[in-house]
Amino acid sequence: MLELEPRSAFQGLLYPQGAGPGVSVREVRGFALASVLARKGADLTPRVREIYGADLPQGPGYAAGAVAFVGVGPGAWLALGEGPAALAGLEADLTDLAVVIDQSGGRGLLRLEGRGAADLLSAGIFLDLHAGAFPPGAAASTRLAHVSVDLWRTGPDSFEMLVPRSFAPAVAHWLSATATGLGVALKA
Amino acid sequence: MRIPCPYCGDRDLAEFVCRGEARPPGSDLYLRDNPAGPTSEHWRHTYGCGRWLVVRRDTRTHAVLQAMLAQEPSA
Amino acid sequence: MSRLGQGGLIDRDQPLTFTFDGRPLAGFAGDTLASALIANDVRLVGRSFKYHRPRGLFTAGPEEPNGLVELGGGARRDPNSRATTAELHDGLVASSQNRWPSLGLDLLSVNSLLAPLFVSGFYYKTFMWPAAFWERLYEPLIRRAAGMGRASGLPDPDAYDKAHAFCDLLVIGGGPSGLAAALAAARAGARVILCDDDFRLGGRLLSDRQSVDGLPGPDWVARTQAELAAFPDVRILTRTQVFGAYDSGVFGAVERLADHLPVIPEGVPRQRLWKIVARRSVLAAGAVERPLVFGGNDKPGVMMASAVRTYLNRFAAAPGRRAAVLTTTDDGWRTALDLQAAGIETVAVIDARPEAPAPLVAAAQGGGAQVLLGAHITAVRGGQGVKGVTAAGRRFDIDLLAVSGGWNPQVALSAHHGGRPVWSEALSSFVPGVPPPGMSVAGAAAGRLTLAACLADGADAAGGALSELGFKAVRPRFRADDEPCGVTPLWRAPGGVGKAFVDLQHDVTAQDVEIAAQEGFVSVEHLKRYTTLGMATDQGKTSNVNGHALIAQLTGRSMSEAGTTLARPPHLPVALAAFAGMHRGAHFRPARPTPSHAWAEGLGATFVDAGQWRRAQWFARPGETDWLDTVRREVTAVRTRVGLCDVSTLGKIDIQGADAALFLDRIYCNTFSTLPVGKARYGLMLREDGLVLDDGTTARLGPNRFVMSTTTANAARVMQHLEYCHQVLWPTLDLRMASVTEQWAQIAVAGPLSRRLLQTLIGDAFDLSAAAFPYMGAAQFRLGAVTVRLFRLSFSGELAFELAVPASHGDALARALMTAGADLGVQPYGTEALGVMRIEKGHVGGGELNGQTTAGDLGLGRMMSAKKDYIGRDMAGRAGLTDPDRPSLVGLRPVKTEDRLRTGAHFLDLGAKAVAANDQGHLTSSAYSPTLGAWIGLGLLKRGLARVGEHIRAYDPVRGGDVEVEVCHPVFVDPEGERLHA
Repeated sequence: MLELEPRSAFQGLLYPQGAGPGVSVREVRGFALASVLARKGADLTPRVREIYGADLPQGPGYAAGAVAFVGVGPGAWLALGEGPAALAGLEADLTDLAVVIDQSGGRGLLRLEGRGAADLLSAGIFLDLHAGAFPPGAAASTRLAHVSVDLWRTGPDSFEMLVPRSFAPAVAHWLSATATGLGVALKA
Repeated sequence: MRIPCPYCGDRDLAEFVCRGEARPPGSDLYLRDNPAGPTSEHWRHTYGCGRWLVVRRDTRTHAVLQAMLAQEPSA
Repeated sequence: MSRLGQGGLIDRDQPLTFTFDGRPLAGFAGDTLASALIANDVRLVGRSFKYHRPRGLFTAGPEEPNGLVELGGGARRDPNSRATTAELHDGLVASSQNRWPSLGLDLLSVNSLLAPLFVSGFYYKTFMWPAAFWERLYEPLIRRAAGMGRASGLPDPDAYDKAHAFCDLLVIGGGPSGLAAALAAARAGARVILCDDDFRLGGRLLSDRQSVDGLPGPDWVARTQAELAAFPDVRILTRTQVFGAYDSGVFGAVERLADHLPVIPEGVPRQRLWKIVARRSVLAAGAVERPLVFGGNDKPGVMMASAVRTYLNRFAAAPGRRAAVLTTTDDGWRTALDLQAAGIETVAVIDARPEAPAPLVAAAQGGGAQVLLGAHITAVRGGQGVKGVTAAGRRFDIDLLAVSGGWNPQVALSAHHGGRPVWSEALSSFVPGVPPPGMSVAGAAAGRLTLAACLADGADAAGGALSELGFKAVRPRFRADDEPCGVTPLWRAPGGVGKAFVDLQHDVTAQDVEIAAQEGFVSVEHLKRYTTLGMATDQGKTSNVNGHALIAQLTGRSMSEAGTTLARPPHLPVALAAFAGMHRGAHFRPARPTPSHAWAEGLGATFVDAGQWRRAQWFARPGETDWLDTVRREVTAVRTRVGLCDVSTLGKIDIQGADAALFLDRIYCNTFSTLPVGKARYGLMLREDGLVLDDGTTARLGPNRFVMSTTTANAARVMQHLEYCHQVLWPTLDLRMASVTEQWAQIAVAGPLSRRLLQTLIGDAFDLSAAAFPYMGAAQFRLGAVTVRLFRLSFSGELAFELAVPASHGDALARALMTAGADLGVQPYGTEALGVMRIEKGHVGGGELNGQTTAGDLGLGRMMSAKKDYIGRDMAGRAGLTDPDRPSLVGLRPVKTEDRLRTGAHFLDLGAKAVAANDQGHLTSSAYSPTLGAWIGLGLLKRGLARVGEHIRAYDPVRGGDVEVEVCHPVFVDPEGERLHA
């Protein structure tokens, strides 16, 4: 049987640079991702809480559970699970309530951690990432340089960001050039 | 310019695409009122939630008076 | 050396060396280029724009009209840089500009003798005739004679980047008002950004001998800066120019990060463009001192009084040895006192006003100055510098004339939303009109001139803004002087000989303004354009108000009636590179590799940009020297064996819901509700105006589930269109959709052996036989660990399939296909071969889907359903769009088979004259067809297929082509479609 070896979006694109504490930028590999679009008039909240233990965000937010949900629009979420098979049952679980569309292969997922992470991201994202305005659990679908990204904050100094696969090289270049300009080290 | 997306919050103009004046379907092909003052337009939050919005703004001051979803979420 | 023995905010322990016009000179850290030049007795710094008159430093700030120099060398040469704001660094290289052969001996200064020719409107009148001479003769001549600095002409070697920031209060200007505002806001707990163009905070506090809270100005500044820096939510940006106030509280600013460094460290950006969103802002940009207009007022040695104080007090540099002051303000007198305090002989204070405050008069006289009240300067002596002046019949031998004419508040940013400044009689200056929402103007920028007033005003402005935001406002109070600041404006000093300049940088004189008035250019906006007043790089910061006052006087209007010109962003010149940031060259826009990019790279593919995508154009093999050879081989491989091509760039949209089929019926001009599950159909969608928007195939994967494909170019536009139709036009339809362009890697496997190749790869996971999976079949199934989609589609006209896998597996799929097809002679092919084959098959592409064609024009009119409504239906029926005379799709081949066809050639009837009236259409696509062994083309020709068999000309004057061609059917290969259905 044919087995195709997957290639992650940022494979070969991220390198450590500079010295000092800096920001760690790591690619999360092997995740499962899906668009979850509520059907007309459907309320997914109880079902998602019951099955996945997550409080479905009603706005642009991030809620972790067995599967994490990111609000990306009215009645629209991204479901994110660890491991390629994490969302195998999602479509069946929600079928009467939502349309579920696999997006696992189409994005790269970056985890950025460190004191300078918010400043680094702010250089490219026209969004107030001050901890008061964008606290842990906040999420945004927005634009980094010229790229559509989904960003959420997982802790005081940690963020995760989904990048469309074909834009991974552009984002990797942006990260490297911006970190150099700001004098921020990038670590693995 | 910042536009208050009803879902995403205040966002920069560059995240949006403007389609033009919000007129009844069929009458929006070649006719434009182009008023000096408040007007309603269709904008899409392309680099955001992707929703089409009706944005009411004043063409003289560029003040954004209101922005709402063109379609209610439950629809 | 004219460096004072003591004082100043320079670091005498840090000597620096630099050169000006090749001369090695010395300065100190803390100097500007201008202050270092003054300390080195350099008086002549440039030649004027039009008359090449000798000019010296005139101000000490960003408003400088004369001291424009070229900084740096090689690719870093930066022309028209203001010496007054250039921070001195070790090894700085500066040279004067607009002089030939040298600054001292400028041969083009003969322009001054021709001055009568160069008055306002001169260009418009003199160089009008004959018109053809303008480009060839007049313009090059004028440009050579009236020049500014020279651009390096080389690529900019530096990096630039961008940043964003948000704050409750943006304070623009770090002088006393701005510092007071920032302090008030910081103490209230607000998020504050304080920007100052200077490399040092403090504004006039660095230049004037004043104290705050008992501390000398610079000491108070240092203490305040330290307090501000301790707040976590206060950001201080020095060397940062706020250049524009945009909508919704967005400000543009540029920070100079490296211009002051001798060597730019690798990777450090030269400048950073900031976009700042401020809930409130305080404009505390200060004021610029107004020159006086009198004969000879441009000679080196004539300097603004405030600049004299700056050079003395901040830089410990003496701009002269024997000075006089010409004033209409109390400030002028303070300048005399500062000169005397610095030990510079000050021979006279000439005040045009009949009276001046007695204590100032007494102090100046005590310092040895003669006092002339109600007096004017009638002559200025000296060639390359002031040697003396005559006033009230008395001659004074001096080398420095400090001039004080009042203050112009820096209101420009307050006018960026269109609020014109208004004239204040009380303050004798233009003050802000209606500022942008959320902005208050404080201190000298609002016309308040004493230190005490500025400090209080700054604190109050910030306090008011913060109260509006719900902060418990703190309004600090400061102890400082309310120094005398009387002003009586004098727009044109009487008497005097020689030219009286209004705009020093653009060489506009009082006489020019008079001519404009005589000729009826009396609006300030017309005056500006006719005389070029205020249109130089300094944007008239020292000249506008004087010019507008003169035209008001000449036309008998008040200042309010005459008004002033409207300022627009940018407030100061901003390098285009700063706007581009890192997005230039290869990074001008993101380049999107396809999922199989690494595989194609490994095969030595040549890539081409298709919109943002970077696709394999062809895969050359050793020995192939011409890309046509490569493409010929790739096409032949597909037509005779099998080839594969990454087609993932096509837009893909997943559409699901009970109304999905109905939705597609409304979107496409043909019908999709009748499409069976497991089949795909070619669809054509129109715009609302009836012209073609896009085409592509859409497959039905389930009763309520479709996957649409769009062209690569229109992927985003179609998604936007579908969302608009759903959300705005038909919100009640039950459907959901999402773009899955990034999710699926799709590889076309085409050629007579494609079925064998695929069957080898997928084994018994799916039956590919013609019976089980006919042409236009669509299926989704599991292959190993992944879900794949298979479509039997063909763009090449051969038996072909498109296999889609999650994009993460696209690279592996391409490699697996190559391995599986090795025995069959599989070859990869690129976009060029793809294009050749679609032309051979007469499929429309970008050249035909050009936004101006109808379905009928493309030979697809029969697709337009008469049984349903769809977007564009009504408008497609307009007479203009159904005219049988419209150019429509045909095939074309040269009569002489060796002739080459070039896309873009226009069609003419044989024997018809090559004029636009005879145009019959144009060639939209062309290619060399290896299958036919000749060039072929597609074109849009009037009356189209009715002319099959006719011979016409493909006329291409741009590239020298003129080929006789035969009109034919657009399908050149396998018109019956036998291969397709194999």
